[in-house]
Amino acid sequence: MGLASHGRPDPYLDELFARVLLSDDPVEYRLDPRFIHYGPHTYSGRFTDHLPELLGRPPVRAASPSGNGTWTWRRPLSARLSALPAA
Amino acid sequence: MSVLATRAEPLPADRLYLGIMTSPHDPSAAIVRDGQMLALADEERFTRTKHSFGAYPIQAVRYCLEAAGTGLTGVHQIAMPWDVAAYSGGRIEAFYDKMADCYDVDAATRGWLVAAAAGHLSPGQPARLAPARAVSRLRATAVPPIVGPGHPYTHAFQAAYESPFDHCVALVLDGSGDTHCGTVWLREGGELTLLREICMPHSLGWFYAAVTEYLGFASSDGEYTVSTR
Repeated sequence: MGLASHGRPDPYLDELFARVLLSDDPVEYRLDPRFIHYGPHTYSGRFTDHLPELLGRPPVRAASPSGNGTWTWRRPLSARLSALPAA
Repeated sequence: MSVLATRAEPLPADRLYLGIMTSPHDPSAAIVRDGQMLALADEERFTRTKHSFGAYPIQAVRYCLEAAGTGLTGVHQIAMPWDVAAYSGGRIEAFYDKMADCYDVDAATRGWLVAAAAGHLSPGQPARLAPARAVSRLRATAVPPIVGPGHPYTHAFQAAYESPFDHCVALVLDGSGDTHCGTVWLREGGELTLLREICMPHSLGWFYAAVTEYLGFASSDGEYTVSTR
């Protein structure tokens, strides 16, 4: 079972995701490419530095130990991600 | 008007067809005759490296050819899950150049876009599509014709024709494949019709990969860890 199943809906994350995933109607959507493509890629080739700025925390380091807040952050974010594209 | 490939040409069934999947991840090969798969192999099973990122599936190709009792010259056509003509003709590169023109892109990002974001867009890609390395390593003297109906079509074809339904809709939400990241198809009997399309950079798959890496997992691998509700 993945992390998403351990997360709970979070209106704050809904608001943040709405800045990345732009949708004017239930069918069409666009992504603001600044968060993935356009900007400095200090941490990863997969996202720009704008993404951690948006989320308000630096990226989680691989193999971070649990119990330091990592998992309490991973769970709701995983849940929100797996709810894409619904806002 | 869409430039997406929406159909593959019918082919004589009694020949050997070699499928080669070159990709940033999970390269593989398969060989087919008369609609029957004779062999299928992922390169990672030979390299013992999960996903075999960036590898050419040379050992998988060799395995498939041996299983079919043939060499590269015995293959009628090679099929790849990419729009081969678009890569070779420069259409893919032109698309991504134009995409970058639509945004305020600095030089560093533009370099990243070409080199990493769409790693198969580099000038070397046509050579990568053509199995030149396979030719030399298999000691073949010639390469069979290479065909590729396009990445979204390939996904949709598999989903629609492996389903038990003659009339169904296939939804493809990919990271990126050629120029597309989302397509909707209608299967009616033997026809597969494109209904909707979403082009790069509006990729839900890429966003999923981005957050997966942000959370400390490797993309193209750790998505299953964050997903599943």
